[in-house]
Amino acid sequence: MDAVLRAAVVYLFLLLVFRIAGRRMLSQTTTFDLVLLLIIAEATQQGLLGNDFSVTNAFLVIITLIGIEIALTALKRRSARIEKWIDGVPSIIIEDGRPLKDRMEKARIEERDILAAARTGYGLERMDQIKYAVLERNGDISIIPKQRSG
Amino acid sequence: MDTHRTGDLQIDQDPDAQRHHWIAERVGWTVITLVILAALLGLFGSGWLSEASVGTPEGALRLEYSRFGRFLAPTTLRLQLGPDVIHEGRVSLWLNRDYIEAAQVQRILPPPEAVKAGADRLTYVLRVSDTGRPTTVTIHLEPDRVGSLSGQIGVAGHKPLRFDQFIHP
Repeated sequence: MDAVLRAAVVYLFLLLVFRIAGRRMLSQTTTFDLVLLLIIAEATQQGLLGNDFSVTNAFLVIITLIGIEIALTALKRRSARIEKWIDGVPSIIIEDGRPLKDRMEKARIEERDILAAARTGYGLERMDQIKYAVLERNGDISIIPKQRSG
Repeated sequence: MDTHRTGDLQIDQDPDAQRHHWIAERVGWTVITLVILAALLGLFGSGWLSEASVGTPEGALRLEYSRFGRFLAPTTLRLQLGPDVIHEGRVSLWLNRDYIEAAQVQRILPPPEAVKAGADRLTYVLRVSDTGRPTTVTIHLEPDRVGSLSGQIGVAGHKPLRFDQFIHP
C-alpha cells in the first residue's frame, strides 16, 4: 500500500511542479538543464523508495507510475478540459512575422529563441521570413515559414 | 526483408500483428490495475490484507504482525503482554532461532536487559513496569530471507504463539 501511495503522491507532485515551472523548462536542453534533471531524479528516488530496496517495492513503484500515466491518458481522451489543464494549449507567438510581445513575455520566450528554432529547423535568416511561430504543448517552438515565392 | 507498398509508401505494415499487440496492451493494463489494487489492499506489504494478529485464548499474549513483508524492508511485531506474564518487573520473551536468523532483529522496545541463547530459541529479558496493567513490546525486524518464515514467540510458562509471514523478494 505504502509503495503505491508514495508513487502516486510523487507523480502528482512532479506533475504540479513541472506544470508550474512552465513548458519551456525541460525542453530547453542546455547542459545545466540536463544536470538539474539528474539531480531532481536523484532526489525523487529517495522519496519514492523510502528505505525499502526490495525488487517488489521497485516493481510496485514503476507499475504505479505507468498505471497513472495510462489512466491519465485515458482521462485526457475523454475530457478536453482535463487535457488542457495537464498538457497546456498551443499558443501563437508570431503572426505574419510580427512577434506577439505580450504572449512571449508571459511564456518567457525571447525573440532569439524563436530565431534559433527558425534557423535549426528551416534555415531561416530573419524574423520577416516567419509566417507563424507556435509554442507547442511540449515546449517546442514550431515555425511555419512564409512561402518564398510570396 | 519483406517490404510492402501501401499507396506510395514502402512500409512494413502488419495489421494482424498490430491488432494482437493492441489486445495484449489492454490485457496488460488490466493486469497493472489488478496489481495496483492488490498492492493497495496489502498483498505486497503493508495494508489491510497484511494485518494479522494471534493471541492466547486467556489473553495473556497477543501478537500483531504483517502477513506480507519485503526483503530487507522494516517490519514490526507488536506483542501485548497481559499483567499475569510480568513477574517482578521483568518479562522473559523468546523467539525461535530460525525466525530470528531469517528476520534480523534491529531493535526491541524496551531494549532488553539480557539476551540468552538456547538450543533453538533466543530469550530476551525486558524490564516492564509491574502495575497490573497490560503493556506492549515492539520488535523491529528486517527480513533478509525471501519466502515463507514461520515464527514462534512466547513467554515462559505460557503457550507460544505461532505466526507465518511471506517475504517478497
